[in-house]
Amino acid sequence: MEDFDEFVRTRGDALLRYGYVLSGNSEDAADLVQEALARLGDAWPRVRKKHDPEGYVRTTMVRLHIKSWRRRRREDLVAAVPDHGRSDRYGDADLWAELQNLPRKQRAVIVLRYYEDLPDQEIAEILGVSRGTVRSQAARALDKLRIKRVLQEAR
Amino acid sequence: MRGEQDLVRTLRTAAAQVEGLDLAGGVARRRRALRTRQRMRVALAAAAVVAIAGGTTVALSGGERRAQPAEIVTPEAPKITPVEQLWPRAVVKMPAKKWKPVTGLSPTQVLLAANSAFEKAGQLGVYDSARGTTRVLGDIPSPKKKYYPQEFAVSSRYIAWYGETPQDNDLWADFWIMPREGGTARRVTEVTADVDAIGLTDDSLVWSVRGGGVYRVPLTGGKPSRVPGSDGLHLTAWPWANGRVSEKPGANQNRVVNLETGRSVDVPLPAQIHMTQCHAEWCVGVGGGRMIVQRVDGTGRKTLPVMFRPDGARWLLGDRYAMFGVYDETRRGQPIAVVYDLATGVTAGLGEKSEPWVSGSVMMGASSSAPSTTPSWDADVTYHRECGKGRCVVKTHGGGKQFTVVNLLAATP
Repeated sequence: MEDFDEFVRTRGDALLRYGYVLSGNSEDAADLVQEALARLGDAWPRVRKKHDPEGYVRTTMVRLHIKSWRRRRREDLVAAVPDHGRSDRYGDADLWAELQNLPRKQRAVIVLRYYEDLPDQEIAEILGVSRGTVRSQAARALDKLRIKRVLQEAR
Repeated sequence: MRGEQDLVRTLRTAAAQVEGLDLAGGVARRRRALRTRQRMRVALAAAAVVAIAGGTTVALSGGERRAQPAEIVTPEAPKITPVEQLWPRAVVKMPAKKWKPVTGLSPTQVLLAANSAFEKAGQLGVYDSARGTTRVLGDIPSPKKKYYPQEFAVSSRYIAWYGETPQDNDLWADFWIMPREGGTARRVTEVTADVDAIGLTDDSLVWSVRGGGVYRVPLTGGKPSRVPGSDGLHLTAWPWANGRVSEKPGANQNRVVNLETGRSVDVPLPAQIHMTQCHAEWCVGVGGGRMIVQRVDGTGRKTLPVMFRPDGARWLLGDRYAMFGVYDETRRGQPIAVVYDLATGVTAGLGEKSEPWVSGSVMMGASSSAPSTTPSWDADVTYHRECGKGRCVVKTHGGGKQFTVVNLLAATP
């Protein structure tokens, strides 16, 4: 399992950053990464054969993130932990704050498209939805964020 | 209106705040939990807490480990002089009720656009800082429903702009000019295209489109023609255009072309840089979470102090200055943003933050197609955070009466 530990060591920071833009706060980011890495660890021999452990982790993270929203909503009642506004200390604070207000699925689509730079077809496969759904979710999110939509044919 | 590049930048800037955390312990613990089929409890208290503090990282883990010593990256402390001291003649206060600054017309004149509704400019005007007066130049016609003027350009004789119906998915834009001294606006032409920038030559109106390509049409009207050699190029400010690595938002600009002479320079860029913006002489990009400055030929490359961050959609203000956000939570009284002299490194501080970590914002004349020479802000706005339901929202208080404008045409380097 040495190479798994090596993977965690070398890719941990990048995955943490991904978790941060997905979830919008550092607690959930660390939570997501560790949970996804733990699952990868158990599937390591199988996943490594397919040569894409990072893709596996990232897919796990985004799916966990969307799922945990449904669960978290109930847990909010007992464990409302405020983010201490860490995120607003750099520029674009308004846009970042508005991103937090998007439903998780829309936010995930936005992150996969604009942070991970993935084409809509791949986003659709990761999320297990149709390409049309990806496009409509993205369009809704962009409208909410008041972002000018460009032609989507290229995607 | 925001564009996709704002989203790319915001996400990347946010990600860049996150620094190292030893994940191995948490992962091993979770794997044990998985193996013993204990249901993984998503309890925030048990999750690792990463305190993201621009270079300082503290890792805590459910009380099982002590806080690791924070790795402190000592921020360099660049010399920042308040702009009022550095360039007193360049600082202008003007009423904010109706007008928004677009760009400088002269050392004492600022071009203004007025909203007749949200984001909808209804008039053009000029603020004269020598007299302290505002003069209306003329009306901006609205030929369609939900029509919004997008960007303005200025020449020695005219002011030009293009408008769109951005909420429709069709591609349509029209182009207008008005004499610089004021008068009636005249529509030059309309096109079926996704216009991304506009400019003026002596006798023509020019524009570029998403995907690249520069077009021109005589100011008297007529048939638009494509500017030779402009394939893949985007207008920066006539005669300068830029070529990009790709058409994705946030892609590096890596070619600078003078469309009048045809001279083209390929910009050598360091690895890991992204979002590079170039003008005739300088380029500024982001690499490793820091601003990187260089000349278009790759010389004079400098990595700027970590406290300078990308802010807004553009940070290159013409060919002498760049504007950056300032993020330094350790000290109070930081400026909201700085204007950085690319040639000398002289740095002017703009405004003052009301809280160390809430940024405030400096407008940089987003409606100017060429890089605006008039960054501006509302000095009376204070920011605070409202937290609840697991998240915080930044709210503002006060302001709306007066803008402070820096007219860089009056800056004395």
